[in-house]
Amino acid sequence: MRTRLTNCEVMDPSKGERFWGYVEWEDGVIKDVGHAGPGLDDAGSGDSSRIVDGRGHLLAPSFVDLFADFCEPGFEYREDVASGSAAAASGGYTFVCLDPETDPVCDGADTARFILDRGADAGLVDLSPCGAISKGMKGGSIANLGELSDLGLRCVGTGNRYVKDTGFLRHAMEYAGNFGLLVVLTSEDPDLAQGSVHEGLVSTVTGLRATPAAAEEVAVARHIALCELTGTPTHLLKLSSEAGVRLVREARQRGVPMTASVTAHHLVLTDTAVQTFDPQFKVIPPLRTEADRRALVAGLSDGTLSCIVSDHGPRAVEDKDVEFDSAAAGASGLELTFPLVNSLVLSGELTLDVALGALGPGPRLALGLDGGKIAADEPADLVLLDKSVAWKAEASSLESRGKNTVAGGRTLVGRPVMTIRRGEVTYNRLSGNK
Amino acid sequence: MPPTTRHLLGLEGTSREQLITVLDLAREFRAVSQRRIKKVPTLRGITVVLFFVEPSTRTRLSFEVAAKRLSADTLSFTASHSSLKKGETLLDTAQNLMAMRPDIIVIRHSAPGAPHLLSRHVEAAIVNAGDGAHEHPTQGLLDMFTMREHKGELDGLVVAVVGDILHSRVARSNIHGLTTMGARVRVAGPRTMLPPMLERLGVTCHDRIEPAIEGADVVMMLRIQKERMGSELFPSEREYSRVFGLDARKLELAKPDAIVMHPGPMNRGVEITPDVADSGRSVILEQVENGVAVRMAVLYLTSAHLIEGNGMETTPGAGVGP
Amino acid sequence: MAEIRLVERRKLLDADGVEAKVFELAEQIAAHASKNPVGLVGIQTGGVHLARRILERLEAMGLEKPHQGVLDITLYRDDIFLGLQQPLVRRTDIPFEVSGTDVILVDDVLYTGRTVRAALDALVDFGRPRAIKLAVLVDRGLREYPIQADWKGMTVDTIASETVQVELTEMDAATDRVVVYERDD
Repeated sequence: MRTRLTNCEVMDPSKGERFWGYVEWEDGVIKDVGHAGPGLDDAGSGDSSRIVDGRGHLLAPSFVDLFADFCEPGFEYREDVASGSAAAASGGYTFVCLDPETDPVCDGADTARFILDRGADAGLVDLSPCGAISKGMKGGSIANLGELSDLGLRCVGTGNRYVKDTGFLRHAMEYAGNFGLLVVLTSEDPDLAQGSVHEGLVSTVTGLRATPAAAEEVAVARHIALCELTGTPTHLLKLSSEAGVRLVREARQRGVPMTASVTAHHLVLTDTAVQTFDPQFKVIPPLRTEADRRALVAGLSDGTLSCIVSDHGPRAVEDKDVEFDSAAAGASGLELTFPLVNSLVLSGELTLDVALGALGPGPRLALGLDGGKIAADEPADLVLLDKSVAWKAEASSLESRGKNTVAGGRTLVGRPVMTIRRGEVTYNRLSGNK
Repeated sequence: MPPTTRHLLGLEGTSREQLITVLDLAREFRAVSQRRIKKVPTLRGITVVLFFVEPSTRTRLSFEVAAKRLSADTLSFTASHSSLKKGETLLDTAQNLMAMRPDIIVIRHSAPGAPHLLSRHVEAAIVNAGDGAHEHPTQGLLDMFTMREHKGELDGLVVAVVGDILHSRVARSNIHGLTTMGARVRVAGPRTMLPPMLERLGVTCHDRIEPAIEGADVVMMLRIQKERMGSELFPSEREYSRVFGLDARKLELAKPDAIVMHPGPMNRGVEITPDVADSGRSVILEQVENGVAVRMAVLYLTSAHLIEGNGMETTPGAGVGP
Repeated sequence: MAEIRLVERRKLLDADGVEAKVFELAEQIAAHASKNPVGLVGIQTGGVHLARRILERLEAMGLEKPHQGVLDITLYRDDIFLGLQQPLVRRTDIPFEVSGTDVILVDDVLYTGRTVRAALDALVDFGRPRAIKLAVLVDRGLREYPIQADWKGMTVDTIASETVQVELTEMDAATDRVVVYERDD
């Protein structure tokens, strides 16, 4: 069945183009893209069996996430693959890489296949569990990366953990290179990372145990060196500091095959958010200073950071309603990433091109995935965005089982209204338009 | 902070006027403690729960005496007796405490922000009796009260705070309160125990104790945790005592009438030598007595808010004046 | 809290009137003091100034200076914190041995009796007086507790919506006077 999405503002960040028009697809592939004035409902070939009115919203390549936690198997009280998939679709995503730190850890074909099957059952997003690079995430022996690759997994890594043995990590990265797997690493030296807030004025005032930016700097430097040494494409997750951005910028300029990402909450928030000891703002790595935040925005704008990750960390009420020190880190992010990033677009800190580029095409490029363009013969992986709708991230308005967000009581602006994966609508808030 | 908010979570952000209100009031309450009948009926019917999840006999006793002198009922709930050790969460326990309908919960906890967590979830007014390395507002108030009694105004007073600032809630509360009142605060200690950006709180930092106490009106020595000795923070008790400890010779650098303070309990011979601790310059025992007065003032002001909201009836124009 | 507006209704005493009433009270107290050792205790704040004035008269009469003290009853009130912006606790200072003394409580206006009730409680925490007497400048009636003054400057009929104020120069009034105000609701 040929579908035509009309009356929308088409945005292709790969070309930097934006125009009023329509997109047609059939069998999951885009067939036609064309110009049409706003409000005009029909200007195309006329053989579409279904016409969807885009109501003037923005159409962009769907989002791809490099790091989300769906908590299954093992922590289904927080989230499972089905609820996580619904959250992803509602957040505008069609492809999500998952945190390997489940129980059991995703370090072999059994667990990976289980997750993939659960994802297929949900049928809302394509999943690629990020395989654990070491067995049991213990850092002692290399996981069966070959069998993970055979299942179609795109990446392996360390989740939120850190492999202390640099020699081991070197070999594991080399071995991952054999299978074309992207190595995905979090960069926080645990010897320096003593707490869950940034070491600075806020930690001094609150007395909370702290992690200096140097914990990231040391680890990023190590990971750049290993990436350069092994030649294995590497992605550094969730940079949080000015120093981290600076090191990655310099490495990428030198041609080191690495990409890096930032979360939406690190782009909009600083450590002042934890002054009230609210565990909703406890994330890994910690929120840092305004100078760091600006450096992250600049890094995104100049392409040093090519991806925005959700770092989706759904947590149960009982994980968060405890003392800050005891609270689980993480924030439910898939459904807030676009609105948070949109706030920077609205304030003029980021261009729409950069924002959408880092949500869709950037992660695809890092993972070596097709798509990310709105053109004929490209996959029909699309998201329709309402840039101006105001809403509150309350429990009832989130698909994720994790209601723990960094939104506080604030009103967010902007939200996906329709997500299309290979031509199928996986999420739809445009009422009466199914 | 009373009287504008119902909880006392910390001295950070407390105004000069609020601090003066508490300190002035504490003076009247100290007079109550000096009478033959050391008790006033003010807080009859008010229930104060002393919720101590971290052991502290001294602070708990001080709050208990303060509450009793105001005729409040007190319930003690300490970690050693509590079900917290059975995996119950802080909020679970707090909800159980609420079944006793306390008006005020005084909480001591090892986690910074634990009082803030309670204040978001329970009806009672929360008084922070020390939360991890964050704040110990009543200790800060009693220290300021003691300085005020000896030195008159706090404005312009030179106060040296020496020792493990990083882990000290006492230091933080004093820094916030004293700088608000216009005192000049100097801190000194091993760099491993000075948290970053302290200067931004309006204090000056020193690597050695000598420049910090030179010409000081007040020398406040902080307790050094024995378990931190011989760790990565400093090499030995002996070296700490030699470099950062207060002895009679170093004290000569301070003003001749300088007073010596310590929040207790002291490690005699480590951060302070016994001759200094027991000298006429030491006001350490006064601090303990003043603690009761300050805590009476805090409980009184905290309750003021409670009763106001309770809709108790009164006759218009009753009592003194219009 | 909403501000209560007061409108002046009638003046009970001017400066000369206050002077005369203080003198009368002093004479009555002097008669008593000649028989027993007394201590004059003013209730914060109006009573404190009155007690001091009475004391001056007693001295002028050549009486041996009696003990004096001030009493703040805030901590003993049954309506504590209500109707007050800030629960100010003022100074209490009883620098003499209360036990065995005839304590004369001095207040400006006697109304419901609650203040005096609180003052009695406060006073006995300092010791066991031989007797407690009460001297007030104005008794405005409308008692809620069974308390009466031993000596009073004047009695006046009032209604509950009225307020009787004793304005003294010590309290930054331009001149001494006693005025009845009414709440303007």
